Amino acid sequence: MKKYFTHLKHLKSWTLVMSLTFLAWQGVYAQQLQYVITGRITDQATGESLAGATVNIENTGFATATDIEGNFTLTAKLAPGSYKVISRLVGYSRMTQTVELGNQSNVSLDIISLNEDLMKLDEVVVIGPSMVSERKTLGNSIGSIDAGQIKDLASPNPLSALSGRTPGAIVTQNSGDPGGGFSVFLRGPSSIKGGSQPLFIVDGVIASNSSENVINRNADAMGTSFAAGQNRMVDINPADIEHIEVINGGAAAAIYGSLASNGVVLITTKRGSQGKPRITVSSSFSVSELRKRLEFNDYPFRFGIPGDERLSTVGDRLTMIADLRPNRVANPGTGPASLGGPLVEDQYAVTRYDYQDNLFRTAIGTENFVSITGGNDQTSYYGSVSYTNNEGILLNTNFQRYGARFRLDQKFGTKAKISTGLNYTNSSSKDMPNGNNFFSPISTMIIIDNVWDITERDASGNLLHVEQQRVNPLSVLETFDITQETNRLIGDVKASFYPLDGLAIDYTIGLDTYGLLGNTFQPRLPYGPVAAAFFPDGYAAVATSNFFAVNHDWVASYQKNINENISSTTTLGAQLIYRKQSFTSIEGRDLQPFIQTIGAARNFFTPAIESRNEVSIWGYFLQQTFGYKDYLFLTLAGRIDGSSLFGQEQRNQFYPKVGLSFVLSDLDFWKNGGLGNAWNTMKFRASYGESGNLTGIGAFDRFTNASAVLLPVGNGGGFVPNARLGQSDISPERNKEFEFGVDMSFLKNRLGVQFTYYKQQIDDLILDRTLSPSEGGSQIVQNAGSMQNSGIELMITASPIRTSDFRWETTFSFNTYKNRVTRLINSGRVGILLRGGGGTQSAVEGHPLGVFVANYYARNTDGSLLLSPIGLPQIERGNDATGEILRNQSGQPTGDPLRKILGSPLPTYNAAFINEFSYKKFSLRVQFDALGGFQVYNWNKLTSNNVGASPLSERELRGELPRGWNAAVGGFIGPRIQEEHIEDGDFIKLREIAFTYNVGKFSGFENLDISLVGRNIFSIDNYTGFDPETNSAGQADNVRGDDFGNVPIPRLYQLKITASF
Amino acid sequence: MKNMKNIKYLFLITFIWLSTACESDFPNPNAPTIEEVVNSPEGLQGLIIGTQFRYTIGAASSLYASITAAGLSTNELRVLNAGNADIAALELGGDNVAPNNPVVTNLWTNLNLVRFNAEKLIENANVMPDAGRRAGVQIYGHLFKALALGTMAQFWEQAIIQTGPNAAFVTRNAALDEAISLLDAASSLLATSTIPASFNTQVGSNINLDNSLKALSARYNLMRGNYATAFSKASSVSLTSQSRFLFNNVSQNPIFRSSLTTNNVYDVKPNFGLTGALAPNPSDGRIAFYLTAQAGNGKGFFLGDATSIPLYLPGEMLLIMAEAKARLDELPAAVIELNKVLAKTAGTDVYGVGANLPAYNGANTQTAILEEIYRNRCIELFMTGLKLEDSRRFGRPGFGQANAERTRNFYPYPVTERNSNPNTPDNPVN
Repeated sequence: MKKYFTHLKHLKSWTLVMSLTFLAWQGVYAQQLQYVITGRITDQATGESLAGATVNIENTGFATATDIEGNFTLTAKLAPGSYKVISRLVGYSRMTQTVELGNQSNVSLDIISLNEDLMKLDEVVVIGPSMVSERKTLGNSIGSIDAGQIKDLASPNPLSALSGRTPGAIVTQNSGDPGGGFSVFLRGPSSIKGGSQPLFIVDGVIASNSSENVINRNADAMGTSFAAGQNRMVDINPADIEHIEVINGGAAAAIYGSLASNGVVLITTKRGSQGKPRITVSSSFSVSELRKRLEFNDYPFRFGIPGDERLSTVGDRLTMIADLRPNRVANPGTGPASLGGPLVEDQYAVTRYDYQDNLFRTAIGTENFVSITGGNDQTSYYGSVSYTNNEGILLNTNFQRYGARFRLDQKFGTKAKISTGLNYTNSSSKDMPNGNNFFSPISTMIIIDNVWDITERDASGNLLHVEQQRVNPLSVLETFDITQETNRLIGDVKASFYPLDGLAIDYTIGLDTYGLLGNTFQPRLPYGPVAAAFFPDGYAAVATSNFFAVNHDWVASYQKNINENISSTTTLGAQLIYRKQSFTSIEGRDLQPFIQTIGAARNFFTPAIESRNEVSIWGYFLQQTFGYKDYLFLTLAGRIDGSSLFGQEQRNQFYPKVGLSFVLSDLDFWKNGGLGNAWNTMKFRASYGESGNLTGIGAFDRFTNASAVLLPVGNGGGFVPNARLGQSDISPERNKEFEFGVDMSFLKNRLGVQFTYYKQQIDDLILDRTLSPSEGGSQIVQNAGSMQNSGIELMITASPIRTSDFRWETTFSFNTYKNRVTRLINSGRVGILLRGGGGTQSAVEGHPLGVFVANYYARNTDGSLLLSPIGLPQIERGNDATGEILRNQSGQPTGDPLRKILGSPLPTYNAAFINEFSYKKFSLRVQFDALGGFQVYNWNKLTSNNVGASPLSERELRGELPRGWNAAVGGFIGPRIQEEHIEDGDFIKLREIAFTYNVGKFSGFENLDISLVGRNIFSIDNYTGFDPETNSAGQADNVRGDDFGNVPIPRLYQLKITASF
Repeated sequence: MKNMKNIKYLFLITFIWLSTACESDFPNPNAPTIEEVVNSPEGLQGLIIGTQFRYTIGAASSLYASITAAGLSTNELRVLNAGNADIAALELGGDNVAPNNPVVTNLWTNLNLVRFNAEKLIENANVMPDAGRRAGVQIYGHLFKALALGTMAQFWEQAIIQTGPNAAFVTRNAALDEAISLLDAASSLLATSTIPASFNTQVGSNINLDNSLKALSARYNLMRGNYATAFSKASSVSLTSQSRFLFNNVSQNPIFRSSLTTNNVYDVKPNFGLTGALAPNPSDGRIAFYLTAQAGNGKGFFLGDATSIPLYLPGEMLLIMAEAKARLDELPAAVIELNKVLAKTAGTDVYGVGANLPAYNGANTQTAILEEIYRNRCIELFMTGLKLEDSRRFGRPGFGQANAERTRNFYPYPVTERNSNPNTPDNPVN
């Protein structure tokens, strides 16, 4: 409690200081006069008028924007004197000119012509809560994306916008479901337990991007940390986004302190603009399809001796790898011994099917959007409504979203303004069981041999059985009803005051709340036998999740020129965050007919779940920036944060930051010398910062809790101490980052190069460390490790052709990622397993997080397979503690099964190559994304080999491989050879291609745009599965590169018309 | 600028809000801490049920893992889908059973957790308000700790008898001795205590403490070679008393739910996996009891989610007595006890396990009688997790020997134990 009061005391003294600042507002002002300043802004290269450029008078609140002809009129009430008028526009260098205001009330300025700026050094970017800064002053790189770059995204998820458009971001679409989740890693993972997704801030509101499982409660999660399904940023419509800033790491993110160790993504939505009301309508129609088909066995024979015509006896299953016939003793198989005895070598004729024809469809979708914006110099507004409905390529799946957004900006003269926004979203989807079980559509397709006609029905129209114990894929697609719905409201109010010249005070309150409802209904299956774990007796569930969060941000910023050369910006801030979450779930099986709700269940086989938690986080920061002659900038900042999630002693943390920026090309010798003509910009930047992960553990994880359990003895209930022990003195993870970079432009800004090197050191890594069970638990939450990320970010931008009719802009970006778990207490040679259920993803000292540690083929010294005495492949053996390979006298492997690192799901590089061509009213944008240096664990291959539906099993049937090969690889003759299922994932994808025709003014429309967009058109890769860009563990950050019954990302074409009037 | 002034007050209000709305310690409405549990009488009573839950519920429980592991290592069970590589490795045995085998790891982990929870009961019994309840908590603590140690000794050459960091290993004989002394101490305490009925209402009366303590003592004395004690303990157990682990649709019979009814994990072998001289008499009444599939592929003590599983069987007591006498070379006495097992019918056994066979008429040699006792242990005690121990004790051919009847002798120590405990012994070869 003592700490709590100390902390309150801090806050109270703050309140006092701030209140005094308010009282100081009543300053004495000099005699003020009314001035009207007019002018025009043009592009220096082409001479064209520039609309939408802003003009303001430095250190005052007076500002305006240019109209469509590039003209502006700025009315200001000021004391006579010398003022700086600053003109700026995104993509152009800022222009500052000094104006003397005297007796003349009408001041007309000369034409202001702006230079295009590839490096965007003068762009004002958001860097913190209510904090903006010109890029040139920053010691770190900040990625930025504006609305124009994402208007033809053709994806409902704003995270897809980050792909290829910002340096240092690995963006993965984990599922091809229409609302399928995305993951973003900025400069690599930075936590094991706490997750590695960045902090998302939408208009100053800390917005949840959780992935919550309210459907698929019955899916076998196959061990730890699966987070399949939607990520909640899908509630934000990309069409509402004005710009996105991406702050990659600790160096820049220190100002966000305790939440920022994974980086920050700042989304600013569209706001009103001055002028008469402008209505924009857009409508699109899209078609999506399976991009790549899996190859199935088409050899019309099967091993075994059929039990009956429709292959419905026990012995008719798994004939590739086993002999399960009840009568096998009388008529034993002749092949190598596997499950149930020697394998049968006989074959019988079958019809082979390609079930992909039955599961997938050509899906259509539509997105409709209307916005209205307008206002005057005091009030502006923006409102939009949208409706999206995308079908999934799997039958009976879709994603639908209604959205409404409103923003009002109100100025109170030049001294105060308020901005308030409200975003409402209703997202709903029709889903199927996700991949992590054998009753999801794609798993059902892959876990049966492709010899059953899945479309066959009995007289009453019921589908028939397939391979015994398994579920007919069409039963899932036709009869399961799995839906989820989210209602979400994000609201913010930001009040800003400019009581004195140079002083800005902001207060932002942000609210984010959603309710998530999931319903699952799986009717009783009309055939049997089906494994009980797949719910042949039916299954119903309902789950809800409710989330509420509020954040208060209070920022005071004071800008002053100390003398002619030195400027200073001081920012003080305080933040308070409160979050409340609750989750409930009820599941039942053995359903009564007619009813589709949980009320149908006769067997509530698992206890109802309710969990609630609350979290509060508080912080204060101070940032000081000094600028010298507009080319040298030093920023120092510190932040103190606390979180209720940690123990009293570890609760309050200090996060420092320092940044240095030096724009060499702004020095006179450079500007005025010959160099400046060819080499236009040369900026050095460096920064160091620390940030934390104060939300890296669950609300009550620091305690050893006991779970209430039900047992039909005594009073019927008891307590089981958790096997995962708590530790009250656990401290938050800390990410220390250093980055260094240069920004250069050449040839009259036709060629730009940005380069950054970064290195992150993450200490006090928290994990549920595996204990010796003899210590009374199987795990303990502990600061048990360290991790590093390092890499480079290179972006080359060029405008090879720039005429008034034809333009060609090209961008090539290349990022590297080197992630290493550098310390992991007591983890051994093969580390700790991160995924259960036979998974291999592990954390191993000295290697990237989540590497595949797997059994591998025994090989001869020449690399060829060392076959067993019966001529089949086998795993390597030896001493698993040391990795030493052992052979017996006959040269065969002996000892424990050996494991080694066979790959990593984390890419070591990604690249994007974007070309934009425009000719008069036509434009074409082509984006290739590449991801490389990573592997995928192909579970689909494993299961389809085992059942006999894969190309490998076809080879065994054809006699190209000895009988038993698939059984040996699959683990039915000796342990599973996991090496076989680990494949290279490297790919180059045609991610986006957009062809746009700008009709311009057209019969009453002010502007009309028609675009044809393609997404994920093709992929160049060697992966044998659907798509190496996948993760059946969803947004789980530890378990990556898992391909298990997951829906592949479709190819999509979209036709879109946008009109404004 | 009138507006501005008003908004200024709004600002001040928000700051007052900030400075009061900041709570930093939230109670956990979802679960108590372990400290809260062991420091309250209700919590400790709950921990008795919780310890039983830990031992019996789920595929990670000792009950599931011991039946599964022993069954797969000794030919009682067969794997149905070897995609379940962990259990396939156990069936194949030998060096396929890696130190990280999940079933082996689960068994080790769970037994350690049960022992830890039982120690918490013993250490904190004083929290109970009266002597009777204190004794009750103590006795349950002793019972579960003994069960954990005894079970550990059945599967590993060395065991851990006290929870702690870098815990020391003792030989399996020392672990059995500790288990026996815990059980006997609990028996003495029980004899001198009056446990209030209200205590039993709270923690359940599904386990008859008096008989269970003696039965387990008999079991471990037999394993330890204390035949006379084993005999006297077993003979003091009432054959009509029941001590059972109870289940329902929520806390399910683990073997039924996780294996038999899935039809996809493992199932029983025909004839209990016994062949040749050991093959059961086809008219043995226990074949139907244990091997005939009922609804949902339920069998034996695993008929459905709610089927209870006995802590020990009366037949085990008879077979302990028979074996003890046989090993003491008191053959006629041994045959008397053996015949009780053979003569038992479904109607006379409290659980319905009845051989209903004629009396023993084999050779009157120690070897022959012991073999008949072994055959009957294999059948009477089918899927009780005891067969690996029995197979070793009866000197049946082990892994690598001709006509091997088991695929392991002992299990390797799990990697998780070795990684953080330097005292972990070397793994056995088989």
